[in-house]
Amino acid sequence: MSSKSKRTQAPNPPDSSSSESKTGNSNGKKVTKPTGNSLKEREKRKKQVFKPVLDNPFTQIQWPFIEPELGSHVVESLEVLLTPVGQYHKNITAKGAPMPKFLDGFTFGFNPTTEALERQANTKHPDADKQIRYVFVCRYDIIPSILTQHFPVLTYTALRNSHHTIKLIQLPKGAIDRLSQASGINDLSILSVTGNAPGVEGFFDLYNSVPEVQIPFLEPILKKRGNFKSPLIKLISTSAPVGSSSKKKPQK
Amino acid sequence: MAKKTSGKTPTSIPKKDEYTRISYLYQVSQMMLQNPKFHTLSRVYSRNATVISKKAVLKLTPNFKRTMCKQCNTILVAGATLRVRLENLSGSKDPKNDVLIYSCMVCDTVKRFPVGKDRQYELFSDKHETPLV
Repeated sequence: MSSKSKRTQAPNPPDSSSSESKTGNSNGKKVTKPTGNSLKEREKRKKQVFKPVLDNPFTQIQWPFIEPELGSHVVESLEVLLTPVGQYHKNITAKGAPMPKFLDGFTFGFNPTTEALERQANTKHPDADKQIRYVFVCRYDIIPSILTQHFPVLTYTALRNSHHTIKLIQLPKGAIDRLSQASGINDLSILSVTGNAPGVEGFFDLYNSVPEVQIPFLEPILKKRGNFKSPLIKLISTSAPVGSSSKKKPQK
Repeated sequence: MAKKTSGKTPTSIPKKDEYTRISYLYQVSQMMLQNPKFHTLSRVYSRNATVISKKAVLKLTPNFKRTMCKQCNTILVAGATLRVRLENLSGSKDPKNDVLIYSCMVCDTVKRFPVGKDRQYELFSDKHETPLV
């Protein structure tokens, strides 16, 4: 039992001599390998070691914090917002109705939202009304976190040419079910809303208390100039002897 | 249990200078990226960082390496140099076939993450909470 737990703890190769040298001993020093196959010997061969691994110096990308109470308020407001969408999706099978106007201000799903944000980041003179102002992500319902990893940075870069701030709002766990039910779209976990979407105005105050995305190392993108400064070279007025300097005398 | 005492954090890190150098070069590269005038220079610095990590046989976390394009060494910043898409080519649209695609906007090199295959997959660097030095 104990040997099994040890094995799972240290998934390193059984080569103890190399791991020993990593912890500080010089490479030439060899540790004698224990031979034999008893459990005790096997335990000896596997040791917990620490291997250095370099991480991104800029990993401290934080999602804007939302208080749980506010989070549930936001989900409720979204349910209200999405009710007409849900009604449209219910009736869509009955009539071949054209897409209603109130859908214009929304993007639903991963790809449309990401695309819209990327477009916003890369268009120089966008239409102020059509710009995304709120991005909602069910962060805790989307399982591999790599799927939502890019949203803080993307929201930040989309600010480059926008007239407004963009709020990235993470929704509490379980929001995916409520949103899907309200909107009639399967697994709706990511959506964005523009400023001119109908019915959004009423919720502005609620959303506006959410802090903005802060990414310190990308700040110069918004300011449109780099952090580097040209070398500061000053000229000092001083005096110097006229003519060539005397040669150094050889030392005795 | 005498075993527990054996797992001490090392007091010194081998090749710390090289690690520091890579970290520095990466930050310079990131800084250069923010001005379109210096994009080539930015690539030079991150290329330098990768080459040093290979020569000195250093280990970088996958999350770190994924922020650099394998082909052209551009630092990938979502919206600026990175395009993110979710693809599902299966007819049934089974979530098992979801593939996350990172493509570099500079050279269109594509990195595919089959996220649907194993939703519980975790990187080794995220799994083990390692002490910082």
